[in-house]
Amino acid sequence: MKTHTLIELQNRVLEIGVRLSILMVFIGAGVYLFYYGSQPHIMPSIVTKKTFILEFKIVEYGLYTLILIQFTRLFFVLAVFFLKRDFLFFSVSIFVLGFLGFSMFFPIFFHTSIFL
Amino acid sequence: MTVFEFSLLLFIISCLTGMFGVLTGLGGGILLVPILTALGVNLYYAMGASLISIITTSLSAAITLSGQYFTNIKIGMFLETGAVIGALLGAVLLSFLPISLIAIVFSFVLLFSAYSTFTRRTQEEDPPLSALKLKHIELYEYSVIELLQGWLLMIMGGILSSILGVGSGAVKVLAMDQVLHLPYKISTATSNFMVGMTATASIGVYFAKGYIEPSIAFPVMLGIFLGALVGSRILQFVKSRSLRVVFSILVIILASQMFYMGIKEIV
Repeated sequence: MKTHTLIELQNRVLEIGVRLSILMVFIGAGVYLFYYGSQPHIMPSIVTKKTFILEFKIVEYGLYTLILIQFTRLFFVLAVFFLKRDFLFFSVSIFVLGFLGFSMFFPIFFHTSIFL
Repeated sequence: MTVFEFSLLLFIISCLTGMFGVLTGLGGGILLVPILTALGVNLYYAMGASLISIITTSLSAAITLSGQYFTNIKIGMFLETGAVIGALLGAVLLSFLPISLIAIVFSFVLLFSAYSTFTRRTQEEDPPLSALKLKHIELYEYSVIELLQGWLLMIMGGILSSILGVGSGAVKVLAMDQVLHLPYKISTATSNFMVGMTATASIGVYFAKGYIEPSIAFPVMLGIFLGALVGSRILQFVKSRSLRVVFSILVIILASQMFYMGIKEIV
């Protein structure tokens, strides 16, 4: 596959991903405002006990989709360097991807005391 | 105020911030955080929402700019190694730094951003990327100097991104434009490519700590996205010099407010 075809494909994936993410956030927000919009607003504070409602879960999944797309973008960068046989920058990209994965998923899944 | 009214207010403010962030070149996050805190939103929630908006605008801009070949992926990836290391260090620091110190550091970063925006080359000298309608690609050779210094600046940018919830685009552009001596358009496009990744490296901790509050994140994300879209459309029709002066003054006011907030917390 030629690299410019890959870049075209990347753009298509980014476009669909961003739209999907915004749609999910929009739907979650819409349903939330429909049900709770007329209630008096209480400013969320760090000490307030969190209430997990389905609408906010949809918003959260929309935000996760956005981050997933950012990762997908990096995989495309990796693929371009690989196709160009540029293994130095392929390794650099692997390093960035590794660090990104570590910083993103390590605190979420393992709740390490270094971060939390 | 009802939930709907508050969400609408955040949406409108984010829309305007996103639009003027594009028009002034300051970016959305650096303006958004102090405005949200002035409205009474907790600083951590404001920073979390700001990071979300940065990733959104970076990805959206990537789609628009990708066909213009201004982004230097190689330099971007190399410098990003420093930025992600910095972001990780910043994430560790975030657990230890008091909110007062964060507010004070933020005020200084705001002042630096105002200064760099004010002293930047004018639009006439350096037309915006969206105004360029390239009919053919011209090969333009440039070289990079002081790579190590630039890389070290990226670590600082990464730390700032994590502890302040901003993209630190000002630091990245400064490093590429002034230290590495990259052409300005290449610097801004590559910086845009990088800020999304740096924000992604920073956001894991914000999610884990519960600093991404959906009721604040959704109007901000949608507003900034729409505002940045409108801003990039009208960018070529706006004389940005006077706008930059006005917004530099606004940023100085916001910096003073953040500084006061930080000092008040200490006292």
